[in-house]
Amino acid sequence: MVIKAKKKNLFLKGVGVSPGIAMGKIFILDSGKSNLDSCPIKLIDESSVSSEIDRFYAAVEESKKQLLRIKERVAPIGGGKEHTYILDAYLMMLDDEFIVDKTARIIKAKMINAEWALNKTLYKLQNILEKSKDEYLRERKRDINYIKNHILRNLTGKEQKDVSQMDEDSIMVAHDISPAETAQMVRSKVMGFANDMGGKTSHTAIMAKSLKIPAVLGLERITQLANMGDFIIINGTTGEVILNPNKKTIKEYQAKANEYKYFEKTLFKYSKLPAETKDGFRIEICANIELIEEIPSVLEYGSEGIGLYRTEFLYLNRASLPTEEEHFDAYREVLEKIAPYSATIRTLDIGGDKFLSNLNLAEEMNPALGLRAIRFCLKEIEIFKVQLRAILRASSYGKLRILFPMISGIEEIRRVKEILNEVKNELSKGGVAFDGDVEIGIMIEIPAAVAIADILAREVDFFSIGTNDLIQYSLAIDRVNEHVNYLYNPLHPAVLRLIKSVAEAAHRAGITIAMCGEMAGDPLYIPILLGFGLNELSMDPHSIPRVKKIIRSTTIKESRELLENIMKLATTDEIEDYIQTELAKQFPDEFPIANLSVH
Amino acid sequence: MIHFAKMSAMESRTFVIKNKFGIHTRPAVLLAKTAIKFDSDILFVKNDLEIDGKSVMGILLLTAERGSSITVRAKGEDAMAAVKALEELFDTKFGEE
Repeated sequence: MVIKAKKKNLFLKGVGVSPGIAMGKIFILDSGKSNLDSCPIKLIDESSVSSEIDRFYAAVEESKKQLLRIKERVAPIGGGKEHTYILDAYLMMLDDEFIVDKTARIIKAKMINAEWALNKTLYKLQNILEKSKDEYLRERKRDINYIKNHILRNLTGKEQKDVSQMDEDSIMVAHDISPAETAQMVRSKVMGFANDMGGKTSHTAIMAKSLKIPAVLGLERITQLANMGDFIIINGTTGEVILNPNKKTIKEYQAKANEYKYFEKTLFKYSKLPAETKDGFRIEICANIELIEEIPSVLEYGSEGIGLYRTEFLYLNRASLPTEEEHFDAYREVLEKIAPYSATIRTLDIGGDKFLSNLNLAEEMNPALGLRAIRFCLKEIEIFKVQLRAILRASSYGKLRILFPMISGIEEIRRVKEILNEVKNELSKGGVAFDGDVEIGIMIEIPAAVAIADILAREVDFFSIGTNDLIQYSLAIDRVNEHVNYLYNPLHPAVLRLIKSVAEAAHRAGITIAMCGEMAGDPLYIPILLGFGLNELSMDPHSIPRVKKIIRSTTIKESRELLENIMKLATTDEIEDYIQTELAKQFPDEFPIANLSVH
Repeated sequence: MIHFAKMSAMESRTFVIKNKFGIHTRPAVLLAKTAIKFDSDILFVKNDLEIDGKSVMGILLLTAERGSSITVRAKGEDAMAAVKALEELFDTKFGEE
């Protein structure tokens, strides 16, 4: 390895994707490293050619087996097989004539050992890629390198220097981490990540966040600057990275780290406690998720189930629709992982235009008011049925509820129930097991649904208020339009009255009333929601400890009084002022009046 | 390498690569997986390079960046369907930007 000049106290800036501060010695994961160093070129004689080829094929087969095992472990990310494409690519390469057949031919023609024949084959391929004008395509030689190292490891029988050989308390520095390498990650050993590549939505980011390991990505040249064993500080909150910090910097960051840990710890202790007010009112706290990978952290933050599993992820970024099996695999895994709690699976909530280019749908002037969610599903019944079948089949593997988005009238929910019954009958006829009493609910996000909540309540087992859309539709504002988004405020008296009316309708009908919009996870609104008597709040997992803290520090009596006073106020500003003043009195440490920031 | 010398008729179409990152690993997997579904022999041609459309490695070696074009040639009973299926991938930019 080339030792680079040691950079002192060098500050770098990347993208902080997983919060927290970590410091320690660098472990450089060198994915591109070949272990040919320890294996010299060897000439073989004719009699051993066929056994050498066999040895090569055996190594290829072994590599395939290992990759298949890794694929099984990482496949469930969001359930979509799309995310394992890189592993599929590796698997296909292990069958590819350009690699496998060619190497076997070289062993025979040149009479050299398999390691070097493989090296020769891949060197040629890499050279071709190297000539590409496109930098991104040139980079694909890393995939070839990965395959090479994988086969070589099985040929030489030597373990590649990989994640499992990391020292305790290391910070992993890499160009990029492949899904395969991520899957091998041993949690207790990796203190943090600092990568050249990647951003907020990369695989590493999602993984690091769910493992609560600080991570800074997109550093561009950290692997060029750092040496194995160098000391490094990473701040996953700000994206700062300091290579070989001096004593002063280390001290400074130790203080910051302690502060952060204290903050996390004091709040985190609330995650294990029930969400119960001082006067014994219990409310259920659940999490909104999109990916199966989020579940471990969901549980750790003290969620009592999944209040909203967004299934759109299964449909996006792919050329074809997900199959029933892909849906089923995802739902089943969610249920098994969240057990003994339940998961609320929301059916497809996007417009057809988002994921199907071959449906030839007309371009819409106003997609928010167009053919989307349940409207799309009721038009494309076969697509809808695939999802319903998979959900029902999964229902025999755990506790689930089905949530239908964007219901505006009674006809829609009746039609949905008809279709659901058709699917149930088909499954029964086919002898397929499912839970016959699966609860169904609807999103309350259209003002019309609020107006007829009393009628809708007769048709379903629960309501879930989607505040983001409800606010947008009731106040007639496009949240992404910068000219009007100042009007978006959950504390608008109209919004509060809508929520009140839904909650009352649900209570009268004796059905569960939940909320899964952003409002449900914001500490400022919690007393109001308690006052309305909501049964469940579903939120971003990270919000749970703080929300629990607020709930546990107040009473239902105080919350109702607060709400009563709020309902008398006429403007958003008055309501906001009032609630901020009141909460600053009740929770001086949570709502210091000076830095009240909600959004 | 596949030879078409004796073949009488075949489907052939040229596509321009429209997605930002060109034919990197993911599109290559999509293309090869689609090609494999068909019995026809499928060739991808770019400049003077001809490769088997069922080989991920081969497709990657075309280093087809955005704006370049690839000619797909299929020969066999399901050649038309094969080209149509591949066309859909090219047309939808492999589901990318």
